[in-house]
Amino acid sequence: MIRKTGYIVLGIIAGGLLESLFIGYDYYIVALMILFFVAASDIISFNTGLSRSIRNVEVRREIESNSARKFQMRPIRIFFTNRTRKTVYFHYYDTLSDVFNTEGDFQGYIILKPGEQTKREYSIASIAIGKYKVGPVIIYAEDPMKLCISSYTAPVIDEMIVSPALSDIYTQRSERLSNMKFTYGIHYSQKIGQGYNFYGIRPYNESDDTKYIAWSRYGILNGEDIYIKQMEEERQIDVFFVVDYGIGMNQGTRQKRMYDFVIATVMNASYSIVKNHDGVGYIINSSKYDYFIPAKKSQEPIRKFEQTISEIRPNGDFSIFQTFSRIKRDVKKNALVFVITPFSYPESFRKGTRKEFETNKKVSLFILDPYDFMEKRKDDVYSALMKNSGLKHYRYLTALSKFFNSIGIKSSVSREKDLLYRIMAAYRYGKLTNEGA
Amino acid sequence: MESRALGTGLNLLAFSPAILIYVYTFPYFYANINLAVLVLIAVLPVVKLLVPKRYSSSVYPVALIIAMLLVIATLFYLINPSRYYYLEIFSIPLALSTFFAIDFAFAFIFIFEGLLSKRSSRMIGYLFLSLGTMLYELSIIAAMHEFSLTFMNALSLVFSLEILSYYELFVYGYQKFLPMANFQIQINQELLVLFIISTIAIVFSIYLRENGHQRERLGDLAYSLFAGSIMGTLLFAVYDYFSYTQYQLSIIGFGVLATFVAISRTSRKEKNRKPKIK
Repeated sequence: MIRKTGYIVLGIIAGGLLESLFIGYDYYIVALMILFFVAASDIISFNTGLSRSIRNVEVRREIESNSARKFQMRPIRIFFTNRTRKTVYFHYYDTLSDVFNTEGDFQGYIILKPGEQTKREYSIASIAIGKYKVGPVIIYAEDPMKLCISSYTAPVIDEMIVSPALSDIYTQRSERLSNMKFTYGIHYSQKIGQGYNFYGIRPYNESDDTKYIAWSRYGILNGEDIYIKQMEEERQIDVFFVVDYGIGMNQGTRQKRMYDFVIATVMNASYSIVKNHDGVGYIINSSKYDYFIPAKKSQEPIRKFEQTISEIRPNGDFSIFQTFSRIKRDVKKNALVFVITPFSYPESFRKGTRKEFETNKKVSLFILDPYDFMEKRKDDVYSALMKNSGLKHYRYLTALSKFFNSIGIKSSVSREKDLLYRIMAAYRYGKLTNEGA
Repeated sequence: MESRALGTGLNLLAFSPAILIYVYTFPYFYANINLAVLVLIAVLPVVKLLVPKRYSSSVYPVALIIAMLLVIATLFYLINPSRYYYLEIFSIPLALSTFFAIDFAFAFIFIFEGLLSKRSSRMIGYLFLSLGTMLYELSIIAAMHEFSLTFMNALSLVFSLEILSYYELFVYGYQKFLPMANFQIQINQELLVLFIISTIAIVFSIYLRENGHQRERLGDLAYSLFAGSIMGTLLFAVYDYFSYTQYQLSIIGFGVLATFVAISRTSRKEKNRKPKIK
């Protein structure tokens, strides 16, 4: 295919040839005719030669493994084989998403003799979780005078599944004492009944077990009154994380993406909760995704959650009404439900009544402020603009939060630095008040 | 990527015929040129170099606007000198000396800009523009030497022959009385050598520029040079053979058209199928 430069050069030379014919100077006419046919020969020989030959270059890619953790380097090898009888010269590049950091020869220039094979190696590391394509490989060649270009897309595409980095989900590691900070000292509930911890005393009834009589309080009032000890029982609860995985979660910069942060936070909270002998379950919700992972008191739901979100990326729309209906329908047991969403759909949101949000569960809504995921620049004007915009959005989210609080749904506006703390504080409160038992 | 010095050197070689013609013809026209107008116009590319970069693209448009205003002022003064007497200081002399000055000044601008041009296409364009003006001046000099005429007589002869040849072209399809085709040019041999050098310099300028070059492609370039030279020479031979016939220019036209058709046919875009995930 001729480039714009090729058209310009040919056009100018043709115009000059016409001018030379009007002038009539023989040497000028000959010079321009030769120039015209040199350019034309260059283009025609490229179109009939190298341009067709690059389509017979065989491309093959080898990846060590199709799954990786965030920031983990994966080596890739690409093999090029010349199946023609001519030497081919071409540039190549492997098409990669911008989430990948690359090292090595993912692009370059190759000369291949007939039948020759060559290998190029490079490594990629993803900076965001999800499923991403690697490829196709684009091959393009130019003529010597750079008047034409021909490209060929080698149909070699692989997929890379990226799960959270181990450094992001630090609470998975048991040896860190700081992982216990959220759950220290909250192993009791106020459920009255037989249990292992003393709660208080009350007058004895005929149906009470005599082993719980508080002999030290016998006859304290009238000489014959008997009192029974009240014991309390620790109850285990389930926590459901409902994650908005609509396109609104795909906010942020290349280095920091909202969905990436939320998933890491949810997993950190989950590991802390599971180590505290409670169960976790998940609902991943949008118009494109509808995943339900039942709660269990083990790490199995967390692993399933990790596996599920590694294979998808935020897509579709999120509806708070449909989400609450889902919670009501699918969360059978009384549980703590934590809904995390940035509420990025103001156009479709409408204020509803208490009845529309009834789930019979203890729901806490965490509205994520996207300010921490905005691009930061040193430009004063841009900074001022972003601050004002962020403040306005924060006021909107605060108003939303107030509305949900007014209809009985605990809600708060969270930032990047305090989302985990808010989640664990809500869990702690629920544990203390036995809300999810 | 080739260096700026190499690029300017190639430009110099490419412009060598135009520079030689300029240097050769200027002494003959010196007596018939309005030097003030020549200097005022020819200094524009130098001004463009000296002004801050963000204003450099405005130099030529501003100069053109000033020139148009001066022409309008001159016309107003000439139409009614008593009424527009205050425009006398802005009027420019509409004489042959002014037109020659403009001609030489434009040629100077094209050569100057072409020498400093970084893009091959722009350089080629400037070259053809400068040669287009300079070769007419050369034909006047050739007429002076051929028929021992004065400058003005040679000028009249050449312009008359030009008009006659255009008439022949549109009515009969050929050009018989072209001055450059029929007069003896004093610097013919030098121009022959310089046109060869210029052609090669243009080809290498395109090869070396436009995002770098690859040495291993020199063989392909040599093939294009060889094939292009053979075809260009053959077509010229056919054109020369059919001179003074009505098919003279048609042959060139058919040759150029056939080449464009061949380029178009071989440039057909092949469809790439959408690749599937393994």
